[in-house]
Amino acid sequence: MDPWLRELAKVNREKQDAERNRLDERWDRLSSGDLSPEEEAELRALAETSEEAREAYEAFRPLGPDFHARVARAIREQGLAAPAAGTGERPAKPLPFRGRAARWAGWGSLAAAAAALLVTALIPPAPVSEYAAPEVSGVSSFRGEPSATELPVVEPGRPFEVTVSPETRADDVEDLQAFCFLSRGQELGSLQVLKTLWDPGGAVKIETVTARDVGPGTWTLWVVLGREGEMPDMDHLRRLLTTDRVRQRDWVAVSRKVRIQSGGLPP
Amino acid sequence: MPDEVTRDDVERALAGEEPALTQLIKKLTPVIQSRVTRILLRRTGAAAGRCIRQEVEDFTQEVFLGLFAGGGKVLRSWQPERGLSLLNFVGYVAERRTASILRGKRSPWREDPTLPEEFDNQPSPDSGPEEIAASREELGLLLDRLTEELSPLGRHLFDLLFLRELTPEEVARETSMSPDAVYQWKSRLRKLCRRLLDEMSES
Repeated sequence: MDPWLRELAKVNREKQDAERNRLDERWDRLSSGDLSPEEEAELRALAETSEEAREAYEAFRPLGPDFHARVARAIREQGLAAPAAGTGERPAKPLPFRGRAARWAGWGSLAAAAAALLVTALIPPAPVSEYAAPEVSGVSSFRGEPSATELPVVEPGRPFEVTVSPETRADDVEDLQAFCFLSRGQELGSLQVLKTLWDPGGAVKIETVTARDVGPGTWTLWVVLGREGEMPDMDHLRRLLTTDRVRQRDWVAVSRKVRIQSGGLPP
Repeated sequence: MPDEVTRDDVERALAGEEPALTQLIKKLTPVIQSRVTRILLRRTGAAAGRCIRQEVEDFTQEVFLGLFAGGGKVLRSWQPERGLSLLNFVGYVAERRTASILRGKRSPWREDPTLPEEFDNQPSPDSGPEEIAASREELGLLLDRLTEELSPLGRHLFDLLFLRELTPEEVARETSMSPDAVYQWKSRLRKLCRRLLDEMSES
């Protein structure tokens, strides 16, 4: 064995030892649900001793049936697996995310009413609706080359309006928030929201303006709609924005291309 | 329990049959979650205010989508006869995918770097590996890079040959490969290590 490869193996062993000292194999068994009650209690107690241990406990805690259903649905929605075939069975209905089935039976009416309230509190809200690509108004248009696609031309520092509408009527919009931003590769451009108007059907009109230092050229304008307290941060978004839309349970991001250009239409 | 997954189970899941699809997801989730979490916690550390749970879910789902993408190309490349269980195979895939995303590469599914023509075109390490002056820090980084660069089978063979230091004959027995094939892999893996170390020293 070459000396440097021997050293490599040694470094690897040391890394593995350090990893085991930090997070031993019980954490893996926490994910797979194979811990004894005593072991689980130990890890729970450990989780209360430091922020690092608390985060580890949150991260390794088993992902349950809700998550499995969500992944199966994502796989089907992206066309990566055919619809249920051959068995005559219908695909499993996705469970509400992070929901927990609760059954109440044989209670008196008061208890049943209280139970109903409790069930309502336990059942998480439905996923945020699908939204169509944003419409941009209050801008000029640019006929781009070579695809002859019309792109809205946005002038830095000049306000414009962005409207996004749900694919179907969305009733549960009271707790939704919206913000928008620009992206170009890994570069981000800020948009200041001046005014936000919500339609009872779920559409939102955002009056916004770009920062003056956003560079000219084609950018992707993103609108993110989501529940208060559940909105993704920019680092999170940057990792996920690889297509023209992203939809998670508590938020949805939709986009369209725009052209940033000073002075409106090109000559 | 999860090692009972067969190629037929995988094929049925890829065909979208239920309950095969959900069963496969259920069996693979813990190992993906665990590998994703270890890398996230190791590389990003604790960060106040972030939702680690959400990140783990997002990355785990990303790994699943990668496994099923392109007609299940990655899942179909699992060869149980090579001595790698589906769980270990998927574990390597999860590490590779997570590490690649964290490095900002959006398309981590590179061609297998062990393709013969690719390796044969690389310069031979004729200067001798003993001349490689790699610090321990560089060797640590090399291990991380190998996680991103190697296919699950390549990573498995690297572990057997260089980290567990098995002989090619022992590896051949464990993976049902011919000794010649193992020797070729060994040579190619050394070249890959050399190339990565060169790249790291240049950057």
